[in-house]
Amino acid sequence: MSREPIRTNVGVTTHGDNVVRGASVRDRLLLEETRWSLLSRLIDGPELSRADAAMLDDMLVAIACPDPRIWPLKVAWTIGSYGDWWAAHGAVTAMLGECRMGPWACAAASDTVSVFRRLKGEHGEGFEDAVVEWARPRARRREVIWGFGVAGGRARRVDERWAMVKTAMAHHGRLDSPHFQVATQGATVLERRLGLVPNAALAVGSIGLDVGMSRSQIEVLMYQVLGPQIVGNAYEASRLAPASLRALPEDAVEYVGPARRESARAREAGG
Amino acid sequence: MDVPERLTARVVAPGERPLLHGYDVQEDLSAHYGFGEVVLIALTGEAPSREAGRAFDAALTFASPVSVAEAPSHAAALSRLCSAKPSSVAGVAAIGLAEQARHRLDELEALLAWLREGRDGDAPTGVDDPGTARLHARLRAVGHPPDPRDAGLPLSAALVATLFDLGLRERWQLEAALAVARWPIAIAEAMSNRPGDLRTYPIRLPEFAITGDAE
Repeated sequence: MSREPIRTNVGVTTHGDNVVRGASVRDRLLLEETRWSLLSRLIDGPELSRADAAMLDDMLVAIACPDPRIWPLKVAWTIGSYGDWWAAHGAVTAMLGECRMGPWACAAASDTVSVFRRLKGEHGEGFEDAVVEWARPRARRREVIWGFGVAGGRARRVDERWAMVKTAMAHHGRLDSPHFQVATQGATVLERRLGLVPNAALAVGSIGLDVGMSRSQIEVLMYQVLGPQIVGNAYEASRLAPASLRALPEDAVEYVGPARRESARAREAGG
Repeated sequence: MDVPERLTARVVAPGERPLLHGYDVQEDLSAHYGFGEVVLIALTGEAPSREAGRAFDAALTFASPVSVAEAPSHAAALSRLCSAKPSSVAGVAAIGLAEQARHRLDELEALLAWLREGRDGDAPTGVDDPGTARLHARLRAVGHPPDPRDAGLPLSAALVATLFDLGLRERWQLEAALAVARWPIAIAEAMSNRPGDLRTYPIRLPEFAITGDAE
């Protein structure tokens, strides 16, 4: 049991001012910092400009997909059915840690982008074949290639969010940002040659790398990108507090566990 | 996309006479098993012998005291002091206990590997923990003697070894048992605080050495 003080420079409150990672709120951050640059500062990430923040704002909107039938958001609805959006939001946050969708998937997709960058550097003009050679055995083994694949069945052939993020990136003149550019090139190749469809995680993963974030910081970035959708669903769920979610009708449940049986002690006791 | 129209239940058969893994909760389990044993049934799927049931009860009891010095109770108590509602305090305690169990099992990975390999070779730690001696004495008293190779384990490891021998072989089973054992106690400790009584809370414990003055 250590009595060592916890050393951190995350922030400190003082009389008349507050300090974030060594920066005065009053003298330096106020009217300069954005929510994205403040976030990045707080997680010891890269310095983000107002132009970065404007791009991230538009990425956030492009990613917006607050459909309550999306699995993690439905967690918010199930818990929110009791009427407390805080608990609903907390439940989603608690489950997202290593959940294979959302923030973790974006961090994993950034690994895919890093592979693309490496292959581009190693193979130059032969990038297309190199990417296919890298991806094909994985696809054959039915491994997930993070940043590719869309949920929603046969009817949903593309992730519309990927296209909308591209629109946002074009608007901000960032289509040629190194990671986003190579992600786009890799996605074009894999879609054409292997039928692998890029998704929003590839976009967020590559943009996170382009603004200088680490893998774990990209998870935080995506959590914040999803924030309004999570809060929005938690709030709506608690506002409606749907009784139909608090307890489903019994006939909505199919029991496939062990059949009725008697315990050893019940048998000993004569039932 | 073809989507199922019903949820699948594998543990509890819902209804007016609910079943737990096939056992009638109201007629069978309530008459013949204690709550601790019901937890064991939930986690393993099978009703235990009397000896195993008593051993599980003993292990849960040994695992149960979570002091306010430990993060789950500390966080729950702080939540209560901040005037969080009781259900939120319980939620904070539950998250903390689940995380504590995960972290503890991370630290005991060598032990888990040793258990999975049939306790082949030396135990991963060798200590003389009186808590372990007391746990093992209790297990012998309830007719479920511990493996003699566990004698040199610290109590936290001996508890995990005991739970492992009772059929909790998977991490999720062990994490659940450890969290369940401590949940009511963490809640009770937290709720013993008066909401809003923040002046009684030692905010500097432990001390934060905050570096980086404003530039």
